[in-house]
Amino acid sequence: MRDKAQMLADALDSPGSCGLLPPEVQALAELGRRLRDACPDADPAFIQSLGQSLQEEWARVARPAGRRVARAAAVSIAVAALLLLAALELPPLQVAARAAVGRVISAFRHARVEVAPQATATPAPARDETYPSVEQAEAAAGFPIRVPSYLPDGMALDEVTVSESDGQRSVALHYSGALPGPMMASPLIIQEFRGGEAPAGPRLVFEAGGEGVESLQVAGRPALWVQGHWTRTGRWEQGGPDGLLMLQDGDLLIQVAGRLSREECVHVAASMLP
Amino acid sequence: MRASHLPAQPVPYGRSEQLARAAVASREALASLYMAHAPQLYRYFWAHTGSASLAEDLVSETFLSAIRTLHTYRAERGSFNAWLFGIARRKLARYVSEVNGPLQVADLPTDALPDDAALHLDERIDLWQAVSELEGCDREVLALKFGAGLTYPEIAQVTGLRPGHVGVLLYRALQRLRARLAGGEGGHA
Repeated sequence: MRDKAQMLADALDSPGSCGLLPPEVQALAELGRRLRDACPDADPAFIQSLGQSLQEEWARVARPAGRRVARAAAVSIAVAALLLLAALELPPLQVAARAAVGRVISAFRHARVEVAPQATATPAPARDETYPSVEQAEAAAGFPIRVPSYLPDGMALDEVTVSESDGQRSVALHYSGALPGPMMASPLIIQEFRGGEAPAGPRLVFEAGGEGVESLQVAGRPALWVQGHWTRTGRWEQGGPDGLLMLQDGDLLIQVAGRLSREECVHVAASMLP
Repeated sequence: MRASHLPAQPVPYGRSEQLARAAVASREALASLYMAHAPQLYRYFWAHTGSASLAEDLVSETFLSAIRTLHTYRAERGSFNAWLFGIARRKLARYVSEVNGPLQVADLPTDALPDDAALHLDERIDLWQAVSELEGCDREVLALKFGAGLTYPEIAQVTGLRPGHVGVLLYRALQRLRARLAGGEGGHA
Protein backbone atom coordinates (compact mmCIF):
# COMPACT_ATOMS: atom_id res chain seq x y z
CA MET A 1 0.00 0.00 0.00
CA ARG A 2 2.75 2.45 0.96
CA ASP A 3 4.59 1.80 -2.29
CA LYS A 4 1.48 2.46 -4.31
CA ALA A 5 0.66 5.52 -2.22
CA GLN A 6 4.15 6.86 -2.90
CA MET A 7 3.78 6.17 -6.61
CA LEU A 8 0.52 8.06 -6.57
CA ALA A 9 2.17 10.95 -4.74
CA ASP A 10 4.93 11.07 -7.32
CA ALA A 11 2.43 10.94 -10.14
CA LEU A 12 0.36 13.79 -8.71
CA ASP A 13 3.06 16.09 -7.32
CA SER A 14 5.72 15.43 -9.95
CA PRO A 15 3.97 14.45 -13.14
CA GLY A 16 6.41 13.28 -15.78
CA SER A 17 8.99 12.16 -13.26
CA CYS A 18 7.51 8.73 -12.69
CA GLY A 19 7.73 5.81 -15.04
CA LEU A 20 5.13 3.25 -15.93
CA LEU A 21 2.52 3.05 -13.19
CA PRO A 22 0.44 0.05 -12.11
CA PRO A 23 -3.04 0.31 -13.63
CA GLU A 24 -4.74 1.01 -10.31
CA VAL A 25 -2.34 3.82 -9.44
CA GLN A 26 -2.71 5.25 -12.90
CA ALA A 27 -6.50 5.15 -12.59
CA LEU A 28 -6.42 6.90 -9.21
CA ALA A 29 -4.04 9.56 -10.51
CA GLU A 30 -6.37 10.17 -13.42
CA LEU A 31 -9.34 10.39 -11.06
CA GLY A 32 -7.44 12.95 -9.00
CA ARG A 33 -6.73 15.07 -12.06
CA ARG A 34 -10.40 14.94 -13.02
CA LEU A 35 -11.32 16.11 -9.52
CA ARG A 36 -8.86 18.96 -9.77
CA ASP A 37 -10.23 20.02 -13.15
CA ALA A 38 -13.82 19.74 -11.92
CA CYS A 39 -13.27 22.15 -9.05
CA PRO A 40 -14.07 25.66 -10.32
CA ASP A 41 -11.70 28.55 -9.87
CA ALA A 42 -12.67 31.75 -8.11
CA ASP A 43 -14.32 34.54 -10.03
CA PRO A 44 -11.69 37.27 -10.58
CA ALA A 45 -14.29 39.93 -9.82
CA PHE A 46 -14.83 38.44 -6.38
CA ILE A 47 -11.10 38.12 -5.75
CA GLN A 48 -10.55 41.72 -6.74
CA SER A 49 -13.48 43.05 -4.74
CA LEU A 50 -12.55 41.16 -1.62
CA GLY A 51 -8.92 42.18 -2.02
CA GLN A 52 -9.93 45.83 -1.94
CA SER A 53 -12.08 45.26 1.13
CA LEU A 54 -9.28 43.49 2.91
CA GLN A 55 -6.90 46.31 2.16
CA GLU A 56 -9.27 48.59 4.02
CA GLU A 57 -9.58 46.14 6.88
CA TRP A 58 -5.80 45.91 6.97
CA ALA A 59 -5.61 49.70 7.13
CA ARG A 60 -8.05 49.64 10.02
CA VAL A 61 -6.09 47.00 11.90
CA ALA A 62 -2.60 48.22 11.13
CA ARG A 63 -3.73 51.82 11.35
CA PRO A 64 -0.78 53.61 9.81
CA ALA A 65 -1.05 57.37 10.30
CA GLY A 66 -3.91 58.96 8.43
CA ARG A 67 -5.43 55.69 7.23
CA ARG A 68 -7.71 54.70 10.05
CA VAL A 69 -10.85 55.31 8.06
CA ALA A 70 -13.02 52.40 9.08
CA ARG A 71 -12.01 52.52 12.74
CA ALA A 72 -12.36 56.25 12.93
CA ALA A 73 -15.74 56.04 11.27
CA ALA A 74 -16.94 53.55 13.87
CA VAL A 75 -15.78 55.77 16.69
CA SER A 76 -17.24 58.81 15.01
CA ILE A 77 -20.60 57.14 14.63
CA ALA A 78 -20.51 56.28 18.30
CA VAL A 79 -19.72 59.89 19.04
CA ALA A 80 -22.56 60.94 16.79
CA ALA A 81 -24.87 58.63 18.66
CA LEU A 82 -23.80 60.15 21.93
CA LEU A 83 -24.51 63.56 20.52
CA LEU A 84 -27.91 62.44 19.33
CA LEU A 85 -28.70 60.95 22.67
CA ALA A 86 -27.48 64.11 24.31
CA ALA A 87 -29.89 66.00 22.10
CA LEU A 88 -32.69 63.80 23.25
CA GLU A 89 -31.78 63.83 26.91
CA LEU A 90 -29.78 66.90 27.81
CA PRO A 91 -31.32 70.31 27.03
CA PRO A 92 -28.07 72.34 27.44
CA LEU A 93 -26.45 70.41 24.63
CA GLN A 94 -29.50 70.37 22.46
CA VAL A 95 -28.63 72.92 19.83
CA ALA A 96 -25.09 71.80 19.14
CA ALA A 97 -26.04 68.17 19.27
CA ARG A 98 -28.89 68.54 16.84
CA ALA A 99 -26.58 70.19 14.35
CA ALA A 100 -24.08 67.37 14.63
CA VAL A 101 -26.73 64.73 14.42
CA GLY A 102 -28.13 66.28 11.29
CA ARG A 103 -24.79 65.76 9.62
CA VAL A 104 -24.53 62.19 10.83
CA ILE A 105 -27.97 61.23 9.64
CA SER A 106 -27.27 62.64 6.23
CA ALA A 107 -24.13 60.55 6.03
CA PHE A 108 -26.17 57.41 6.36
CA ARG A 109 -28.51 58.56 3.67
CA HIS A 110 -25.74 59.32 1.25
CA ALA A 111 -23.74 56.22 2.08
CA ARG A 112 -20.64 58.20 2.71
CA VAL A 113 -18.64 58.42 5.87
CA GLU A 114 -15.60 60.58 5.49
CA VAL A 115 -13.09 61.25 8.18
CA ALA A 116 -10.89 64.28 7.99
CA PRO A 117 -7.26 63.87 9.08
CA GLN A 118 -6.51 64.73 12.66
CA ALA A 119 -5.52 68.30 13.21
CA THR A 120 -3.00 67.46 15.89
CA ALA A 121 -0.60 64.60 16.00
CA THR A 122 -1.24 62.10 18.76
CA PRO A 123 0.82 59.08 19.67
CA ALA A 124 -0.18 56.11 17.54
CA PRO A 125 -2.26 53.78 19.69
CA ALA A 126 -1.45 50.12 19.98
CA ARG A 127 -2.97 48.01 17.25
CA ASP A 128 -6.28 46.28 17.74
CA GLU A 129 -5.82 43.14 19.75
CA THR A 130 -7.97 40.11 19.10
CA TYR A 131 -8.93 37.58 21.74
CA PRO A 132 -10.74 34.28 21.44
CA SER A 133 -12.78 34.78 24.61
CA VAL A 134 -14.64 37.56 26.40
CA GLU A 135 -12.72 36.91 29.60
CA GLN A 136 -9.35 37.52 27.97
CA ALA A 137 -10.62 40.59 26.18
CA GLU A 138 -12.12 41.94 29.37
CA ALA A 139 -8.75 41.83 31.09
CA ALA A 140 -7.22 43.78 28.23
CA ALA A 141 -10.08 46.25 27.94
CA GLY A 142 -10.04 47.17 31.60
CA PHE A 143 -13.80 47.34 31.88
CA PRO A 144 -16.55 44.73 32.07
CA ILE A 145 -17.85 43.60 28.71
CA ARG A 146 -21.55 43.11 28.27
CA VAL A 147 -22.56 39.98 26.39
CA PRO A 148 -26.03 39.49 24.94
CA SER A 149 -28.09 36.77 26.54
CA TYR A 150 -30.09 36.58 23.33
CA LEU A 151 -28.68 35.84 19.89
CA PRO A 152 -30.42 34.81 16.68
CA ASP A 153 -30.30 31.11 15.92
CA GLY A 154 -27.01 29.91 14.53
CA MET A 155 -24.89 32.79 15.77
CA ALA A 156 -21.78 32.15 17.81
CA LEU A 157 -19.02 34.36 19.14
CA ASP A 158 -16.04 34.28 16.82
CA GLU A 159 -13.59 36.65 18.45
CA VAL A 160 -13.36 39.82 20.48
CA THR A 161 -11.34 42.83 19.44
CA VAL A 162 -10.14 45.47 21.87
CA SER A 163 -9.26 48.80 20.30
CA GLU A 164 -8.18 52.20 21.39
CA SER A 165 -8.32 55.28 19.28
CA ASP A 166 -7.76 58.81 20.51
CA GLY A 167 -8.29 57.75 24.08
CA GLN A 168 -11.56 56.03 23.29
CA ARG A 169 -11.31 52.38 24.20
CA SER A 170 -13.84 50.00 22.74
CA VAL A 171 -14.49 46.34 22.28
CA ALA A 172 -16.09 44.58 19.33
CA LEU A 173 -17.75 41.21 19.62
CA HIS A 174 -17.60 39.49 16.23
CA TYR A 175 -20.19 36.82 15.70
CA SER A 176 -20.34 34.38 12.83
CA GLY A 177 -23.11 32.20 11.63
CA ALA A 178 -25.20 31.43 8.64
CA LEU A 179 -27.52 34.32 8.07
CA PRO A 180 -29.06 35.05 4.68
CA GLY A 181 -28.26 38.17 2.77
CA PRO A 182 -25.17 40.00 1.57
CA MET A 183 -21.83 39.26 3.15
CA MET A 184 -20.54 41.61 5.79
CA ALA A 185 -17.27 41.59 7.65
CA SER A 186 -19.20 39.59 10.25
CA PRO A 187 -22.89 38.71 10.20
CA LEU A 188 -23.18 40.42 13.57
CA ILE A 189 -20.86 42.90 15.28
CA ILE A 190 -21.58 44.38 18.68
CA GLN A 191 -19.39 47.29 19.70
CA GLU A 192 -19.21 48.74 23.18
CA PHE A 193 -17.80 52.15 23.94
CA ARG A 194 -17.17 53.28 27.49
CA GLY A 195 -16.98 56.85 28.68
CA GLY A 196 -19.33 59.75 28.30
CA GLU A 197 -16.88 62.16 26.72
CA ALA A 198 -16.62 62.36 22.98
CA PRO A 199 -13.06 61.64 21.92
CA ALA A 200 -11.06 64.28 20.18
CA GLY A 201 -9.61 63.54 16.82
CA PRO A 202 -11.26 62.54 13.56
CA ARG A 203 -14.04 64.79 12.43
CA LEU A 204 -16.97 63.63 10.40
CA VAL A 205 -17.82 65.39 7.18
CA PHE A 206 -21.32 64.83 5.93
CA GLU A 207 -23.78 66.02 3.35
CA ALA A 208 -27.25 67.30 4.05
CA GLY A 209 -30.40 65.22 4.16
CA GLY A 210 -31.53 62.26 6.19
CA GLU A 211 -33.99 59.39 6.10
CA GLY A 212 -34.35 55.98 7.60
CA VAL A 213 -33.39 57.08 11.11
CA GLU A 214 -35.62 56.51 14.09
CA SER A 215 -35.16 57.39 17.73
CA LEU A 216 -36.69 54.92 20.12
CA GLN A 217 -36.54 53.58 23.64
CA VAL A 218 -35.19 50.15 24.48
CA ALA A 219 -36.12 49.12 28.02
CA GLY A 220 -36.30 52.78 28.95
CA ARG A 221 -32.92 53.67 27.47
CA PRO A 222 -32.57 56.09 24.57
CA ALA A 223 -31.65 54.41 21.31
CA LEU A 224 -31.24 55.14 17.64
CA TRP A 225 -32.09 52.87 14.73
CA VAL A 226 -30.53 53.55 11.34
CA GLN A 227 -31.58 51.53 8.31
CA GLY A 228 -28.77 50.25 6.14
CA HIS A 229 -25.71 48.08 6.40
CA TRP A 230 -21.96 48.15 6.35
CA THR A 231 -20.48 46.88 3.11
CA ARG A 232 -17.39 44.75 2.82
CA THR A 233 -15.44 47.88 2.13
CA GLY A 234 -16.47 49.44 5.42
CA ARG A 235 -18.90 51.88 3.84
CA TRP A 236 -22.38 52.48 5.06
CA GLU A 237 -25.17 51.84 2.55
CA GLN A 238 -28.63 53.13 3.16
CA GLY A 239 -31.71 50.97 2.69
CA GLY A 240 -32.75 47.40 2.97
CA PRO A 241 -34.27 45.65 5.94
CA ASP A 242 -31.05 45.60 7.96
CA GLY A 243 -29.69 48.34 10.12
CA LEU A 244 -27.67 49.51 13.03
CA LEU A 245 -28.96 50.06 16.54
CA MET A 246 -27.21 52.34 19.01
CA LEU A 247 -28.25 52.28 22.62
CA GLN A 248 -26.95 54.26 25.57
CA ASP A 249 -26.95 52.82 29.05
CA GLY A 250 -25.23 55.25 31.40
CA ASP A 251 -21.68 55.73 30.21
CA LEU A 252 -21.89 52.70 27.94
CA LEU A 253 -22.78 52.98 24.27
CA ILE A 254 -23.79 49.73 22.61
CA GLN A 255 -23.85 49.46 18.84
CA VAL A 256 -25.44 46.40 17.24
CA ALA A 257 -24.91 46.02 13.50
CA GLY A 258 -25.50 43.07 11.27
CA ARG A 259 -27.77 41.30 8.90
CA LEU A 260 -30.59 41.63 11.38
CA SER A 261 -34.01 43.22 11.36
CA ARG A 262 -34.87 46.14 13.64
CA GLU A 263 -36.71 43.81 15.98
CA GLU A 264 -33.79 41.42 16.19
CA CYS A 265 -31.33 44.24 16.86
CA VAL A 266 -33.56 45.57 19.61
CA HIS A 267 -33.88 42.09 21.05
CA VAL A 268 -30.10 41.60 21.06
CA ALA A 269 -29.40 45.03 22.55
CA ALA A 270 -32.08 44.66 25.23
CA SER A 271 -30.57 41.37 26.30
CA MET A 272 -27.35 43.23 27.12
CA LEU A 273 -28.98 45.44 29.69
CA PRO A 274 -28.74 44.55 33.35
CA MET B 1 -10.80 26.41 -17.73
CA ARG B 2 -11.58 29.86 -19.00
CA ALA B 3 -9.01 32.50 -18.38
CA SER B 4 -11.68 34.63 -16.74
CA HIS B 5 -11.43 32.50 -13.61
CA LEU B 6 -8.44 32.57 -11.37
CA PRO B 7 -6.59 29.29 -10.95
CA ALA B 8 -4.71 28.61 -7.75
CA GLN B 9 -0.99 28.87 -8.39
CA PRO B 10 1.63 27.01 -6.36
CA VAL B 11 3.54 29.29 -4.00
CA PRO B 12 7.33 28.77 -3.68
CA TYR B 13 8.34 27.50 -0.28
CA GLY B 14 9.28 30.28 2.10
CA ARG B 15 7.72 33.00 -0.03
CA SER B 16 4.47 33.18 1.94
CA GLU B 17 6.30 33.26 5.25
CA GLN B 18 8.34 36.26 4.06
CA LEU B 19 5.22 37.98 2.79
CA ALA B 20 3.34 37.29 6.02
CA ARG B 21 6.05 38.95 8.06
CA ALA B 22 6.12 41.92 5.73
CA ALA B 23 2.32 42.16 5.45
CA VAL B 24 2.00 43.38 9.02
CA ALA B 25 3.41 46.69 7.85
CA SER B 26 3.21 46.57 4.06
CA ARG B 27 0.05 46.89 2.01
CA GLU B 28 1.84 45.52 -1.05
CA ALA B 29 2.98 42.42 0.82
CA LEU B 30 -0.56 41.85 2.01
CA ALA B 31 -1.85 42.11 -1.55
CA SER B 32 0.71 39.57 -2.77
CA LEU B 33 -0.08 37.23 0.09
CA TYR B 34 -3.78 37.50 -0.59
CA MET B 35 -3.43 36.92 -4.32
CA ALA B 36 -1.28 33.86 -3.67
CA HIS B 37 -3.69 32.21 -1.29
CA ALA B 38 -7.23 33.44 -1.95
CA PRO B 39 -7.74 31.32 -5.11
CA GLN B 40 -6.62 28.13 -3.40
CA LEU B 41 -8.77 28.89 -0.36
CA TYR B 42 -11.76 29.43 -2.61
CA ARG B 43 -11.24 26.05 -4.29
CA TYR B 44 -10.80 24.40 -0.90
CA PHE B 45 -14.11 25.78 0.37
CA TRP B 46 -15.91 25.02 -2.88
CA ALA B 47 -14.65 21.45 -2.72
CA HIS B 48 -16.28 21.16 0.70
CA THR B 49 -19.47 23.12 0.13
CA GLY B 50 -20.11 22.90 -3.60
CA SER B 51 -21.39 26.45 -3.42
CA ALA B 52 -19.72 29.48 -4.98
CA SER B 53 -21.49 31.91 -2.66
CA LEU B 54 -20.63 29.93 0.45
CA ALA B 55 -17.05 29.53 -0.68
CA GLU B 56 -16.81 33.29 -1.20
CA ASP B 57 -18.24 33.99 2.25
CA LEU B 58 -15.85 31.57 3.90
CA VAL B 59 -12.86 32.99 2.03
CA SER B 60 -13.89 36.45 3.21
CA GLU B 61 -14.28 35.36 6.82
CA THR B 62 -10.99 33.49 6.77
CA PHE B 63 -9.00 36.42 5.43
CA LEU B 64 -10.67 38.88 7.76
CA SER B 65 -9.66 36.78 10.72
CA ALA B 66 -6.19 36.28 9.26
CA ILE B 67 -5.66 40.00 8.85
CA ARG B 68 -6.82 40.74 12.37
CA THR B 69 -4.38 38.21 13.81
CA LEU B 70 -1.57 38.40 11.28
CA HIS B 71 0.76 39.92 13.84
CA THR B 72 0.50 36.73 15.90
CA TYR B 73 1.84 34.52 13.09
CA ARG B 74 5.35 33.18 13.73
CA ALA B 75 7.13 31.48 10.85
CA GLU B 76 9.29 29.48 13.23
CA ARG B 77 6.18 27.72 14.52
CA GLY B 78 5.02 26.54 11.11
CA SER B 79 4.28 27.45 7.54
CA PHE B 80 1.90 30.23 6.63
CA ASN B 81 -0.23 27.71 4.77
CA ALA B 82 -0.65 25.67 7.93
CA TRP B 83 -1.60 28.80 9.85
CA LEU B 84 -4.03 30.08 7.21
CA PHE B 85 -5.66 26.74 6.60
CA GLY B 86 -5.96 26.31 10.36
CA ILE B 87 -8.21 29.37 10.35
CA ALA B 88 -10.01 28.13 7.25
CA ARG B 89 -10.71 24.74 8.74
CA ARG B 90 -12.11 26.29 11.92
CA LYS B 91 -14.39 28.50 9.85
CA LEU B 92 -15.55 25.50 7.88
CA ALA B 93 -16.06 23.39 10.99
CA ARG B 94 -18.12 26.12 12.56
CA TYR B 95 -20.21 26.48 9.43
CA VAL B 96 -20.80 22.74 9.22
CA SER B 97 -21.69 22.46 12.91
CA GLU B 98 -24.10 25.38 12.74
CA VAL B 99 -25.76 24.75 9.44
CA ASN B 100 -25.13 21.10 8.69
CA GLY B 101 -26.17 21.85 5.16
CA PRO B 102 -25.74 19.46 2.28
CA LEU B 103 -23.34 20.01 -0.55
CA GLN B 104 -25.04 22.15 -3.17
CA VAL B 105 -23.24 21.26 -6.34
CA ALA B 106 -26.03 22.78 -8.39
CA ASP B 107 -24.38 26.10 -7.60
CA LEU B 108 -21.53 25.19 -9.90
CA PRO B 109 -20.96 28.24 -12.08
CA THR B 110 -21.61 27.27 -15.67
CA ASP B 111 -19.33 29.99 -16.97
CA ALA B 112 -16.45 28.13 -15.38
CA LEU B 113 -16.86 25.23 -17.77
CA PRO B 114 -13.93 24.37 -19.98
CA ASP B 115 -14.37 25.70 -23.47
CA ASP B 116 -13.61 22.38 -25.07
CA ALA B 117 -16.26 20.70 -22.93
CA ALA B 118 -13.72 18.00 -22.10
CA LEU B 119 -15.34 17.65 -18.74
CA HIS B 120 -19.10 17.99 -18.88
CA LEU B 121 -21.13 19.68 -16.19
CA ASP B 122 -22.92 16.47 -15.23
CA GLU B 123 -19.64 14.69 -14.71
CA ARG B 124 -18.24 17.55 -12.63
CA ILE B 125 -21.31 17.49 -10.44
CA ASP B 126 -21.21 13.72 -10.14
CA LEU B 127 -17.56 13.80 -9.13
CA TRP B 128 -17.88 16.24 -6.27
CA GLN B 129 -21.29 14.94 -5.27
CA ALA B 130 -19.62 11.59 -4.78
CA VAL B 131 -16.90 13.27 -2.71
CA SER B 132 -19.55 14.84 -0.50
CA GLU B 133 -20.83 11.38 0.34
CA LEU B 134 -17.46 10.22 1.66
CA GLU B 135 -16.35 10.38 5.27
CA GLY B 136 -15.01 13.66 6.62
CA CYS B 137 -11.36 12.63 6.59
CA ASP B 138 -11.59 11.53 2.95
CA ARG B 139 -13.33 14.75 1.97
CA GLU B 140 -10.70 16.81 3.75
CA VAL B 141 -7.66 15.28 2.07
CA LEU B 142 -9.36 15.39 -1.33
CA ALA B 143 -10.32 19.05 -0.81
CA LEU B 144 -6.81 19.96 0.30
CA LYS B 145 -5.21 18.10 -2.58
CA PHE B 146 -7.53 18.61 -5.53
CA GLY B 147 -9.38 21.68 -4.35
CA ALA B 148 -6.67 23.81 -2.77
CA GLY B 149 -3.97 22.12 -4.85
CA LEU B 150 -1.59 21.63 -1.94
CA THR B 151 1.38 19.30 -2.24
CA TYR B 152 1.73 16.30 0.02
CA PRO B 153 4.20 18.06 2.35
CA GLU B 154 1.88 21.07 2.52
CA ILE B 155 -1.07 18.86 3.43
CA ALA B 156 1.09 17.28 6.10
CA GLN B 157 1.84 20.73 7.52
CA VAL B 158 -1.80 21.75 7.48
CA THR B 159 -3.12 18.56 9.03
CA GLY B 160 -0.21 17.81 11.35
CA LEU B 161 0.17 14.34 9.82
CA ARG B 162 3.33 12.76 8.48
CA PRO B 163 3.68 13.02 4.66
CA GLY B 164 3.67 9.24 4.37
CA HIS B 165 0.40 9.08 6.26
CA VAL B 166 -1.07 11.74 4.00
CA GLY B 167 -0.14 9.61 1.01
CA VAL B 168 -1.93 6.59 2.39
CA LEU B 169 -5.01 8.59 3.35
CA LEU B 170 -5.21 10.15 -0.08
CA TYR B 171 -4.74 6.83 -1.81
CA ARG B 172 -7.54 5.26 0.20
CA ALA B 173 -9.82 8.26 -0.28
CA LEU B 174 -9.39 8.03 -4.04
CA GLN B 175 -10.02 4.29 -3.90
CA ARG B 176 -13.27 4.84 -2.04
CA LEU B 177 -14.30 7.60 -4.39
CA ARG B 178 -13.58 5.42 -7.39
CA ALA B 179 -15.62 2.61 -5.91
CA ARG B 180 -18.51 4.96 -5.20
CA LEU B 181 -18.45 6.32 -8.73
CA ALA B 182 -18.49 2.78 -10.00
CA GLY B 183 -21.61 2.12 -7.93
CA GLY B 184 -19.93 0.36 -5.02
CA GLU B 185 -20.65 1.01 -1.37
CA GLY B 186 -17.14 1.71 -0.15
CA GLY B 187 -13.48 1.42 -0.85
CA HIS B 188 -10.85 -1.16 -0.39
CA ALA B 189 -9.44 0.01 2.91
